[in-house]
Amino acid sequence: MGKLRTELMTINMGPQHPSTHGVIRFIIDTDGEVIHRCEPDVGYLHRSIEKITEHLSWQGIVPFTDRVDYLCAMNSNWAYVMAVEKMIAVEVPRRAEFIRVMVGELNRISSHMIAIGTTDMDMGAFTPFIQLLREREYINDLLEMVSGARLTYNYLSIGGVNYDIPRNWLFKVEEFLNHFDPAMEQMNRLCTYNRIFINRMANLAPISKELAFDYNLVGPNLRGSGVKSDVRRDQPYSVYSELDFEIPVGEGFGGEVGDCYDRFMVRILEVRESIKILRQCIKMMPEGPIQAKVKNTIKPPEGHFYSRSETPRGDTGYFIESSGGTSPYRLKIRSGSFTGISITPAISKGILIADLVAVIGSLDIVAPELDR
Amino acid sequence: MNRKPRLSFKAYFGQIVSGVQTMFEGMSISLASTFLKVQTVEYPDVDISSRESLRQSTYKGNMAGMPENYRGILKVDLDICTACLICMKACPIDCIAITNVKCDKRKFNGKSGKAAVQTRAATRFDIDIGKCMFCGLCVIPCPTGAIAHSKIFEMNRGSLAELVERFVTPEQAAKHEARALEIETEEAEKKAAKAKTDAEAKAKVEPKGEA
Repeated sequence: MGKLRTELMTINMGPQHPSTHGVIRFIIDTDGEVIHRCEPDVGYLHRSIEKITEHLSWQGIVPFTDRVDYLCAMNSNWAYVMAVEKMIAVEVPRRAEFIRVMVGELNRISSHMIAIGTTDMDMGAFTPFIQLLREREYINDLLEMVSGARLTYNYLSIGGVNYDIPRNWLFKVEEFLNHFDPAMEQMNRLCTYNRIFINRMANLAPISKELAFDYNLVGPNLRGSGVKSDVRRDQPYSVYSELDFEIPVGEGFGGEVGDCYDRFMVRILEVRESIKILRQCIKMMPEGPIQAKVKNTIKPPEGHFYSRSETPRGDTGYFIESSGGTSPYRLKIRSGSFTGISITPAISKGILIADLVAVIGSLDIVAPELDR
Repeated sequence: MNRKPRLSFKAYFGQIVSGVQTMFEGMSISLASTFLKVQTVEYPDVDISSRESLRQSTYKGNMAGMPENYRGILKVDLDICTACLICMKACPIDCIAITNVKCDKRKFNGKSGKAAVQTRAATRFDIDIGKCMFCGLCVIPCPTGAIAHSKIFEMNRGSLAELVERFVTPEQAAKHEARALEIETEEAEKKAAKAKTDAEAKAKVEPKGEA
């Protein structure tokens, strides 16, 4: 009897798959349950935002940056307006900078909550996701109080912020932090410290430092591999140089350094650092104007300008090529999700299909930011 | 594949024990949250427009209600609108359409007590709320505060055409157009009269120059 002929089976995961966190497709060659090749296929959510911006005024681009990454619209706004402020050389008032840090960090917490919650949900624990979404509603309420919207804020303007914070807002934030600090610890006891969960995530798809650098990972994914890299610390923008905070890195909390559990834990530790930053900002919040004088029609100089900022997805860059007109000649957005997904073929060889779900969850990929 | 190292007998059972322990710890937290206040709202039955209205209802959760600066459907106060087209130019997706004609000059106090002068009136002020993304970029530069966000967020309409909010009624538009025509004819008359007097003055001056 001859040898049984075997072949790999190609299956599609997505685009409409509940655990791909958006419309992403993975083409997987499998041998039974084991993945031999995994290739991400992106572009299902491409809205050509970069092209649209070539026909918009400089202020009119800000609401579009909301839609680049809807989970952290404030940070997206911030990354863009910083590039424009660099271009027209405008000094942002100190109070506006502190407000920006506060709304940015609040949004970072809410974004990490979604990242943590969905990873838990993909691993089969539905309760933490619901509980985290309940806590996230408080942040939504806080951000709605300042901006008037719950998801696409369009709060940051070129040269400051659009509206001043309400009178009792700082008090409300402190109230929320006092409530949230123990709630986050409870959430950890619920799922993060669960032995079954740790065993599921630890030693899974580890990314070494070298591999992370090769694929240009940024943000929590890079820090999960043990690299102390944070734009807020490396190239301090706004008032981050005055604030005291740590940069959590993966130390092999469950097993190897740089595995799924490390990336997951880095996000949880970052939430704590954000809380620390917020508490400092409440104490340091100065009085004063919230908006620098910027003309209605901005006439920028020619040239190219690049700004980096640390969003929850990592180092997000906005590159502006200006020809001196009322809209950019070219706007390029560099996002952390794109490099995050491009590493999946390298790390998902030989793992199980069910583990690929954990890998995608731990890389915190947001489809709209990936495709733009 | 073979990613889990071989465990000793003691470690193996130790993991099972800690797995059960942490599972029951999580379950106790889940059970405790059964007795928490309900955080969700029975939406159409409960008025969520403000904190006060929420408190008066049966809702006992922590929802803050809609804030004062909530960005709902745009509303326009035509009494103080100067039809200056700033909002139309600021809109990144062109969902505002305004046409204007000349009108009687009028002075009044606009936003933050600033004096505003009206020289033009809108004969058409349409906002396509099907397109509008509620970014608020039209509200910020408005010199009089005529365009503003309301707190309305329910925008179901029967058809696509009804999604376009028309703020100027046809009667108002006809009135403004008629007045604009009058103003134009008046101005034309004035201009003609002025040209006439100028020509006469010139004619008077010219002979002198010759002499």
